[in-house]
Amino acid sequence: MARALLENVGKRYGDVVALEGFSLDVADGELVTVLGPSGCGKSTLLRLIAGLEPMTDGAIRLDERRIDGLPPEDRDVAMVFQSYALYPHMTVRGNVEFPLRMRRVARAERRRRAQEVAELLEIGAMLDRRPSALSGGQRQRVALARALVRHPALFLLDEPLSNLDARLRASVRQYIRDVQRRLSVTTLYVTHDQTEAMTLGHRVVVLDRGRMQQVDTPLAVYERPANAFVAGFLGAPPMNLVPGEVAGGVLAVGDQRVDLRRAWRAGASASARLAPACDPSALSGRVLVGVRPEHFAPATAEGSDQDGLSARPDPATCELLGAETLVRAALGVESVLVRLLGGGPDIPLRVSAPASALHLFEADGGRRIGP
Amino acid sequence: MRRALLGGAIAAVVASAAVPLLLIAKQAMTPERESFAWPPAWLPHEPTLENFRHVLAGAELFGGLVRSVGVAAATVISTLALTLPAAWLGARAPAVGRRLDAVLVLTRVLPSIAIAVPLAVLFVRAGLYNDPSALGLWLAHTLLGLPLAFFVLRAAFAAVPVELEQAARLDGASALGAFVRVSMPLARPALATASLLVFLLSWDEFAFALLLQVTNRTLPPLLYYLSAFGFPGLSSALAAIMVLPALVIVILLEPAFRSGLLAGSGR
Amino acid sequence: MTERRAQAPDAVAGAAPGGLRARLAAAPLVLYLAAFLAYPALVAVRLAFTDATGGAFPSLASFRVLVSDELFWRAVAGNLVVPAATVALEVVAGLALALALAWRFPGRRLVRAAVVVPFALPEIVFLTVARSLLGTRGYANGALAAAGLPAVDFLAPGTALSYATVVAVDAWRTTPVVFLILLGALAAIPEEIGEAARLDGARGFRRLAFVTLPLLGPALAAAVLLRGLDALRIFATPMVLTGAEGVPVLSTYAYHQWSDYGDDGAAAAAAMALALIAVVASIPLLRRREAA
Repeated sequence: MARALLENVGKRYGDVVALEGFSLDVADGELVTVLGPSGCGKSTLLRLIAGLEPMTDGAIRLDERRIDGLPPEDRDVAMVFQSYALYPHMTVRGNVEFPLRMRRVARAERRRRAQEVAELLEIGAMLDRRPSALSGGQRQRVALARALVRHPALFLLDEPLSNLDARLRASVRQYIRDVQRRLSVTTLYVTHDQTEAMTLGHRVVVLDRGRMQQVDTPLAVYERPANAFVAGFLGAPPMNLVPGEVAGGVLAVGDQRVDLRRAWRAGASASARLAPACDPSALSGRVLVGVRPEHFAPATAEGSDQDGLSARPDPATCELLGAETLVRAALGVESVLVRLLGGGPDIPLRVSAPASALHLFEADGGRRIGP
Repeated sequence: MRRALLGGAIAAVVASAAVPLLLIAKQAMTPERESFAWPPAWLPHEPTLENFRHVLAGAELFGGLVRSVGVAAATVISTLALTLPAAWLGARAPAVGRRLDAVLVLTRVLPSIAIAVPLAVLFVRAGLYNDPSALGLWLAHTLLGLPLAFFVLRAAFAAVPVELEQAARLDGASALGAFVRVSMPLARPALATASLLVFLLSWDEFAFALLLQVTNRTLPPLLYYLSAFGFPGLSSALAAIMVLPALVIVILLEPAFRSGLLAGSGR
Repeated sequence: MTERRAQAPDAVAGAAPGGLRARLAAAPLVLYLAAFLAYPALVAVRLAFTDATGGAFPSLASFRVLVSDELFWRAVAGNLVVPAATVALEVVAGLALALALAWRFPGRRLVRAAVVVPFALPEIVFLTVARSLLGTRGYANGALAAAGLPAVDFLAPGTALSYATVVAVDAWRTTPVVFLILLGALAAIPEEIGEAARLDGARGFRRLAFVTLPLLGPALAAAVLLRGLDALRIFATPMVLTGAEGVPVLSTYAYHQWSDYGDDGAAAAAAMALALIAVVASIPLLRRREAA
């Protein structure tokens, strides 16, 4: 258990930048998830921290101790690989005791600690079996046990749920969260699944193409995405993004006009409690407008257009999921996905999203504009 | 520490590869009269190609070369002829394949001398002993080549899906036609591999050649006697001639080596 | 090996009308083996039990010749000592080379190709080079003389040194085979297991002992069996280096009886003895192939 400090960590392969300028301060006992699509550099990050590959730039510290010059054997970092990497020729007990054996812990003590962590992870009954005789979920727990038995300063997980079948994932997810909270071990958890990122981490780091996009609590990242990429990546179904233009405080999307001044001045943006109000009059130019599917609600006949964006749902495209209904709607020439509560087959003729639910991003670069 | 070990290993490996080749080259180009100098020199004083000329001009030596090439080539043909249909059958009917496997493994398990002595006796009776065209040797080499070719070809045929042959039959081809027109072309790389391996086997083969061809020799026993009687220059020239095709074939076979094809059959 | 295995009839029927016709495909091969393997084997047995001088059959005369020949017993001992030592040496060397050359370094492919050269060269060529190196007037002694050291007779018949030399030369020649087998097995070990071991604190030698070697176990066993079997049949190396009487093994002894004494019976008897040893030793190998 330690505080992990990553300063400007980077990795380059010749001209190709795998990771750049990654800085993060992980508190003792915190679980930070690193979220991103394949190839974004998240696995590279773990390998750099573990010492399996040399960094090109930056420094990594555990509790003031600089570890980036040390070989993996000396870093006091434990990792659970995506493939688990269990030793096939050893029993479960052998696997779990191995790190202790390498640190020359006495046999009696080894047995005791292995037993302890095995019981914590509910694999006590299979200690004498070989990995080949275990199911995927069981193997994963063995991998967890092996990593945790030595109380590492830092605990790394590389997409631990990706090899499990869907049904198992939800329960194992809870399980990992439980264990981490219980042991209070500083953890970095890498995944491409946003549900895992949202539910497990104290904080989430969103990574794309080697660069950090945003780091914040899951809710903050969801409600106030720093750019169009993060906005589109978190949330299922993803946020709708349509082009628009701002001039003099008024947002134009197709034929619709929205007066931003009223909504923003009142501080009533989508994440009002997270951001200060600001003045939209200074903005002008092309933008990307983001609206989450769940922020559309059936519109009454009255209510001026200037209060928000409205769209016309096409009943032919509706998907009745029971608890909710997804339907495509036409917003001007654009098509957006709308999520309505309840499973009724009646689709309203019009839906609208209030100005406070709109996110604005720069048309090129995708950076967030406004509160 | 690791660097030192690695460096040592590389040095040893390079030396073990280079020394034989360089020695052959050096001795081959050293005129015979220089060869008996003491201590032996590392480089010839008057490098020459006369040894090679003697080899090509000498009736016995050149005859040996011709015989080696002939036996090897003939062995390839006879081995493939016997093995192709059997390998195909072994691939399509695994039970039969296993039986053939067991019998062929015996040829590899039994020491050459155990087969060579009775063969020699039989050849004497049949008048094939020490045959100028090395017919007896050809028969012996074919025997040696069978397991090798069978292993390679059977694997190749097993890799051709039986559905392709069945489709050909449905299209009206006969069993033989399907084999010739569908399976064989697909197995062509393996055919090449098998041919090269069998050629090399025959080319290098020493024990049977020594026993069965007492005066009408192929290159390996010739080399043995030449060097035993003390003709380092001449024998090295012969060795150089022997090495060339061997190295060429091994280079050609390198992809097959790497795919682990030969790990099981182990020369 | 029962005919009732599901695959066989269907597979063959699919490609040829009627199992019998297809069976004929293997006939030439089988006939050839009968003529040139089975029949000579029977002839060998007959020869071994025939009195070479009188022609009487059956007779143990040939075996008596062997048993009373001191060279025969030396050949038996040689045929056990030399293969054992050779296999041990080449397994250690092959393992060391495979471990050393498994990592990435510039020129790796070239070096790996160079490893194979001693085995790729025709056996007789390699052995003649070895002899020119190690003979009494060879390059090794030349170098020793130049350094002012006394000459060493590496190939002096019957000495322990000559046995060691034969073992070393044969191991030098065949180490590449073990190397290739083990290199392949090493490559099959997932890299992540080695990485996990490093993270678990297993440094260099301990990682080798606790993780790598156990995982190489099956390949090592396969290499030992394969090479052991080949080594039992050793012929050319002692023959070329020291002659039939220098470092005797059963193959060279049998050849010696055939070519120097013209004694078919004794030669066949010695060959049979060796064949028996080889067949018995190959049982583990055949069992493994059956299982495979």
